[in-house]
Amino acid sequence: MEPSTPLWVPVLQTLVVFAYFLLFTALLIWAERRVVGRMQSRIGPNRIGPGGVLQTLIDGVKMFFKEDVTPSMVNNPIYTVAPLVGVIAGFLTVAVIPIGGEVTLFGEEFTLVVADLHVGVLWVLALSSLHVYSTFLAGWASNSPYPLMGGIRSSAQMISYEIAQGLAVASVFVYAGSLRVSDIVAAQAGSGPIAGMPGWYAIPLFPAFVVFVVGMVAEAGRPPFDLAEAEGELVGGFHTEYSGLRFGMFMLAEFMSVVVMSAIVVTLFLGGPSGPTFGLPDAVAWVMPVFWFTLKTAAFVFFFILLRGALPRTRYHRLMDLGWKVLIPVALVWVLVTAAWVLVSEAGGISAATRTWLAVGAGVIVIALLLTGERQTARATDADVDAWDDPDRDDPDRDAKPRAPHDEEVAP
Amino acid sequence: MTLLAQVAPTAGGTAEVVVFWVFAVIALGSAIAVISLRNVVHGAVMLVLNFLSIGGLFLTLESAFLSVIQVLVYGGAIMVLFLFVIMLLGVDRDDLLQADLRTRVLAIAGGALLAGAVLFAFVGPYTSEASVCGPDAPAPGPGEVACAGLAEAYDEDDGAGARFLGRSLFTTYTYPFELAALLLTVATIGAVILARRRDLEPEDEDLADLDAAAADDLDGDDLDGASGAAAERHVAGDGPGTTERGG
Repeated sequence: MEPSTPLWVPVLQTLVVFAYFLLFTALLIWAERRVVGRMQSRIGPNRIGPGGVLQTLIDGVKMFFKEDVTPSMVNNPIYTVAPLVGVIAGFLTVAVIPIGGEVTLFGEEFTLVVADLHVGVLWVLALSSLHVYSTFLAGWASNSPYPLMGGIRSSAQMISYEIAQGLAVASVFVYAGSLRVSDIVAAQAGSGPIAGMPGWYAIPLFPAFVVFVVGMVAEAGRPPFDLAEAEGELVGGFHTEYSGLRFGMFMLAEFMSVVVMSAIVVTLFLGGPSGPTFGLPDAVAWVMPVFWFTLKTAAFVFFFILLRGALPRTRYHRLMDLGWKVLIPVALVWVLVTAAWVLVSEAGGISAATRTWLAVGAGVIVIALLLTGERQTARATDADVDAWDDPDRDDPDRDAKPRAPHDEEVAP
Repeated sequence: MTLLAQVAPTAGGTAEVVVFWVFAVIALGSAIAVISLRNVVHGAVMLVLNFLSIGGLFLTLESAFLSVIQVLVYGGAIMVLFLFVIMLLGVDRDDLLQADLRTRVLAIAGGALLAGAVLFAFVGPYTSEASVCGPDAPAPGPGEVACAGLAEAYDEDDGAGARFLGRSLFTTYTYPFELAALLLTVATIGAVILARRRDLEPEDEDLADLDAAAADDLDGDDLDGASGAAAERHVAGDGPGTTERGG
C-alpha cells in the first residue's frame, strides 16, 4: 500500500471483502438447505423472509442466545481456542483473493482485494494448513472418544490432501511464473489460443484442476469426505461436545471454507473476476468483474451442495487410497510436465499458443491413463467385493464351484 | 543494537521494530512454554505458536517467502504430524517426563553448551554494525561479516525472495540440498523397515482371516440361527436392567 493512500481505502477494502464472504456464507447455508431439501423431496426452510432466505440469520441469533455448555472434563484453554482458530484462518485466507477489478471511488483507484501479497498463493496454502488445528485440537480437547476419532481422522485426511492440493497449486504458479494472485489472474485474463475461448488455467492445467477440485472437497471436510464429523459413526465427530455459539463457529468455519475454497479454485483456475464487460460505461463497469466472480464461485458452491445431496460418505481407506495413490502421483507428474513446457517455451522453443495445446494434449493423456487405471482398480475392488458377498458362501459344495483367486489361497 | 529493519532501504521504520519486538517476545515466551508445560499437547501447541512467531520474524527480515514457508511446512504440516502421533499413541501423559537430578543437570549443561556454540559461531559474526545492510555500513573488521545477499534478493525483484532462494538452492547449493533430501529418504526407509511386521502378509491375509471368521459365524447361525437371535434379543432387553442395578 503506498503511503499516499488515505486510510479509508484499506478499511473499505477489508470491510467489503469481509462482508462479501460472510454474506456468501449465510446464503450458502440457506441454499444448501433448500437444494438438499429439493433433492430429498422435502421443502426445506421457507418461513422467514422470501423463500426462507433469512433462516440463517435467525439461526445465528438462536445460537447466540443458546446456553454454551462446557463439559467439565474438557481441556479448557485448547477447547476454547479451537473453534476460533477455524474461523480466523477462514477469514484470513480471503485476504489475498480479489473479488473484483479496479474500482474508482472519490478519486481513489483501488482493487477489491485486501492484500495482494507477493506470496499470495502460498498464503492460501499456509492458512488452510493451519485450519486443521481447529478440528484436530477440538477433537483432542473434548476429552471424549468420538471427538478424538474425528480429530485424528481429520488431521490424517487434511495432511494427505494438502499435499495433492499444494502440488496442484504448484503447477499453477510454475505455469504463471509468479506467486502473486493478481499476476495469476492477469495471466488468465485474455482469450486462449482460439478466439473467444477463455484463457483459464483450467484448460491447459486440466489434471491439476481436477486434483484441486477433489482436494478442496476433502480439505473443506464436506460430503462425501466428511469423515471427521461422520454423524452415523461418530455422533458429531470433533464437535460432539460443543454447543451454542462455539458450535456455531465450527459451522461457520465449515461453510465458510466451502465458499473460500470455491473462490480459490475460481481465482487460480477459472480466471477469477475476469470476464467480458459488454462495453458498459466506466461508472458501472466495475460491477461486471464482481458479477463474474460471484457467478463462478456460486457455480462451485452449487457443486459442493450437489455433492452433498448426491453422494454417500466414502470409506476411510478409499479416501486415503484416492489421496495417496491417485491424486498425489497425478499432481506430481503434472508439476513435471508443466515445468517441462515452461522450460521449453522459455528457451524460445515454442510459442505460448503451442504451449497451451501441448499442455492440453498432455492433460488428456494423463486423464486417460488415470481413468484406465481407476477402472482396473475398481474392477479389482469389485472382484474383492464379489468374493466377499458371494451368495454361494454357505453352499456345502462351494469348493466345487469356480471361485475368485483371492479365496483359493485361504481354503483350509 | 540496530535492527536490520531500521536501516534496510525498503523498510518503513518504527512499524517493523514494533513487529519485531512483538514476535520476538512471543517466540521466546512460547519456546520457554514448550519445555516447561507438563502436558505434551500443550507443549506442542506452544511450539506451533513459536513457529508462527518465527514466521513473523522472517517478515521483519523482508523475506515473505520464508515466512509463509515457515508457517506452511513447520507450523502446518510437521506440527500436525507431531500432534497426530502424540494423540494416536496416547503419549499425552506427564509421567513420561520424569527425569532424575543427574539427567537434569546434564541436560542443562548440554543445552547451555549448544546455545553458546550456536551464538558464538553463527550469531556472533553478524552482530556488528558492518552486518547491517544499509547505505552507510562500515567495512567489516576481523571476525565480522559484511551484509550480503539482501541486495541480490532485491535485484531479483519478485519482492519475496522466492526466485532468489530457488535459484541458489538448485544451482549453488545443489549438493547440500540433495544430501538433505537423501537423509530424509533414508530416515523414511528406516522407519518403514523398523515398523514393518514380518509375521503376517499385509491386507490380503487380514481379509482372509475375516473371511474365514465370517464363514464360521454363518455356519454357526445355520445350526441354531433362531435361538441365537433370541439370545441377542434377551441381551438387548437386559441392558437397561443392568444399568439400573449399577446405578
